[in-house]
Amino acid sequence: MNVNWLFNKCRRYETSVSLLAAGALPEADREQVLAHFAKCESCRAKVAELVKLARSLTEAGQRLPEVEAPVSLRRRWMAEVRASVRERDSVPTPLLPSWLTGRRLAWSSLGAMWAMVLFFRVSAPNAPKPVSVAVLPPSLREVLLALKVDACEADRRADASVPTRRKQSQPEALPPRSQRPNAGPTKWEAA
Amino acid sequence: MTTPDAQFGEGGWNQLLQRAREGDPDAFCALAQAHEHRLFQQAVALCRNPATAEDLAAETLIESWKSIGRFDGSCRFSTWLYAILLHRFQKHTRKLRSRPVPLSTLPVGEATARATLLERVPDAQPLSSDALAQAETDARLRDAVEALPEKHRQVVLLRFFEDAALPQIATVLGLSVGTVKSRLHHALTKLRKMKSIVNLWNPSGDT
Repeated sequence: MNVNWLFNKCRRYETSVSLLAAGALPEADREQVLAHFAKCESCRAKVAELVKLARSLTEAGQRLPEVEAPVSLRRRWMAEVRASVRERDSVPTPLLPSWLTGRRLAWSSLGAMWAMVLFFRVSAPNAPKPVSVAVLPPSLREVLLALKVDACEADRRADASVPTRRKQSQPEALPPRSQRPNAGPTKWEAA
Repeated sequence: MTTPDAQFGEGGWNQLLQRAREGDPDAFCALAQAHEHRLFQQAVALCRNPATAEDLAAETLIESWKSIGRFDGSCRFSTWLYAILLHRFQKHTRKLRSRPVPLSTLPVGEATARATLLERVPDAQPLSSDALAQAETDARLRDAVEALPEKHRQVVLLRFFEDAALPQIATVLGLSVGTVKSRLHHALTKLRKMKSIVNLWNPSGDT
């Protein structure tokens, strides 16, 4: 295993070398990096190459192709800008802000609904609630129980007076054959 | 050559920008007209096709009008426009890659390759030998930059072609300055090792 890289001080200055070549090294680091270059020949050679590369890139970037922008380009973007302005002026101001749409609108509606429910529960704590018979005063309880008994009795009577469909349609059951008045011997008995 | 940003005085520039951010189309048009020409040239340099460059430049200016409210002045207006242009170009190349290529467009043989190269040479005055050499160097450098991974290419283009400072690059790309430094370092290291351009700074070719 090559362990030289562990002790290679130049590794610490790798990024600084590139930044120096690109003209983007902070002033604070400049002194330290230049002090290293004074001692390190390989870093000096590397930075010299990178400076040439950076200069070539800058020059290539400055030499843009000598082409004129076509007239249609201006027509295109200007038409789009004017159209968007017309659209903006013609659209009435929306009731809701532009960010309150879709999922946000759904969640905020749900939240508002819950807030209303909580508000009414808190603001009307004495609202009538269903009570059980056990907590009523004894006299009232008796009256209610009597009413309930009367109602059950009335239901039973009503059921008895109205024959069911099955009872109506079912024929009367015949007595056994031996007890019938005109019953003769059966075919088997005669035989 | 004066940059478009320098055409207006400090006060005039701020005033125009403020009006544009408030939605004044006339102010935006004044700004955009000043940058239109350079933006188109940058688009041609990127995609090397005037028709595509026109589309990209128009899309960039329309998008900048829609999002001018988000421009906070922390970088130059031209840098901001260039970052939008790079983004549009990136989308364009992705779309091209995902589209199936018809067999008829594939280069076949040396003759087709030479014809493709000739198409890329702009129709202009006959160039001198120096100018030709320079044009060739530029083309090789641009090819090398194009061969970089996207995240490295963006940083190189903004730093060297647009001459933006590192904090400005960090702002327009939404990165930290440390990330920009690291990407710039890796990009330069990769470019330095590219054999196609190594003789630009090392004529003997020894690395």
